[in-house]
Amino acid sequence: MDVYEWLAGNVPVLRYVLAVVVFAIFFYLSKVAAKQVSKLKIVAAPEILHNIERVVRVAVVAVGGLTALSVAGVDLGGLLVAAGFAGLVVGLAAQQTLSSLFAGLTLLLEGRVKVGDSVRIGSDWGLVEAIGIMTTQIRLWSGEVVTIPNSAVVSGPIYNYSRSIARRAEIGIGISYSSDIDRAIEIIRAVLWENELVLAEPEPVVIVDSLGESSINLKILFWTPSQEFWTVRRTVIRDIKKALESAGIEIPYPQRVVWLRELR
Amino acid sequence: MVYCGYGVYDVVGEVVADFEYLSLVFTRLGPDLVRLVARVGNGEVPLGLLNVPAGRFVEVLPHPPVGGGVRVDYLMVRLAEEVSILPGESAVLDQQVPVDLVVRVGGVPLRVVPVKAKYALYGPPDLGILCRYSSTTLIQGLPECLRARVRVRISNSDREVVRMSRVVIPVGSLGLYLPPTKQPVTSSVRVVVHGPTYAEVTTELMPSADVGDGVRPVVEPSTSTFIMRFGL
Repeated sequence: MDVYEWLAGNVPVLRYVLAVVVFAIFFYLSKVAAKQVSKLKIVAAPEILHNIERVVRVAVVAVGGLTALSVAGVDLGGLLVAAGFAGLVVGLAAQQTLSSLFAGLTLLLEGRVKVGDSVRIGSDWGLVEAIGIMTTQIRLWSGEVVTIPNSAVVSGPIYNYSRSIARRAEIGIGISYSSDIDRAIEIIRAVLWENELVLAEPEPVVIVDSLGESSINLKILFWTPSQEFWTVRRTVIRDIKKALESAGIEIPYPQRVVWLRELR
Repeated sequence: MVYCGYGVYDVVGEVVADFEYLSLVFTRLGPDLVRLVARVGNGEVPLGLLNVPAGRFVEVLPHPPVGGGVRVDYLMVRLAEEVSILPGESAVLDQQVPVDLVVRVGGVPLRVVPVKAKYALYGPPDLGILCRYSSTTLIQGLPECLRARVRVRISNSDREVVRMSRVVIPVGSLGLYLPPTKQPVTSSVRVVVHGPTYAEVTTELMPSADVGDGVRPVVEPSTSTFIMRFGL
């Protein structure tokens, strides 16, 4: 029988003191380990590193807790069996939470979105502020921050507007049936060429899309740098309207031709 | 009369660097500040205030096309005509690209002014790059002093005939010279085609054309290579 066993048997308080010390050491180690993870030169997004830090910390603290319990004389075999049952119950009760947890891991590992990306998830449109293990935070364009469970994030389509350096804009414009289509297309092409942020390649396309009830409908497709998308789109619409107007090409209102038959 | 406003200016009151297509107007506001405005046609574009202490001179020089609404590192030159090159052979093409203007004080660039900017996407939107764009249509109407001469030597190291209609140049390494003729000349560009969609574009250290004895580069050339992997 060594000194520790003798002391533990005869001075039970010592077990508890030792358990607290062991836990404190593990707690300290968890901080050190998390710090070391943050210093690792891993090619990964900061949010992934942050979440790895948290997982490492929780894991070390959990091991420390179990070791401390063991030192305090608690039978871990029984505890683990109980934890197994508890896990089963919690798993059933917290399906949603676990689903979010695994969705978060998927999201972090796949790298479909990262902090700072401009995204649309469902009806929420804004910048990704944080990606946690359970939730993702988006700052909407209106300024509010919305927190979405990761299970909801991964279950639907994610539109990531930051992944592409350029986006295609699509504009529809109707001209009157009495207008010269070729002239209108020529004017629109000139407007697109004059705007420096409408990309020269891929080349803009202007097509006659359909013959509508009140107008000949033209479709205009052009590419622009992603970060300038909305500015360029609205400028182009304004400039096309002005250019068509000054060339005498009418953009008609919806109209109906009504035939009145004379009744005798 | 053709105007070419490259030179050194002592800004007292209002001074105009006239390039026919556009003018840079410097107006002294005080002992340290000068207002810069670009005049294009009947329009004026304010370009902000420049710190030009009285007694120091403003230099207006050509600059490789990198400025504008979007900062880019590449220049896509759409060749006037598609060129087909035999296996193992090479061809030299003389092209022209628009230049930007740079305003310098004591050799320090204060402001790059794009003269005629247009952009293009090379490659798919998620993997490709944004480039400044140059084509014969774009440089139409620009005076010679705002067009730089670029010599592109294309070599075909493939076993098949290759067709090339555009070159993407790493413009940050492109040198620029201003010979006495006042038409800027860039450093030359070498293109080695390895396949129908793949080529290496390298900026070289020598000028694209004879610039005359003792002409120092306005922008120092350096060597760098860009791999065109999304088509030629």
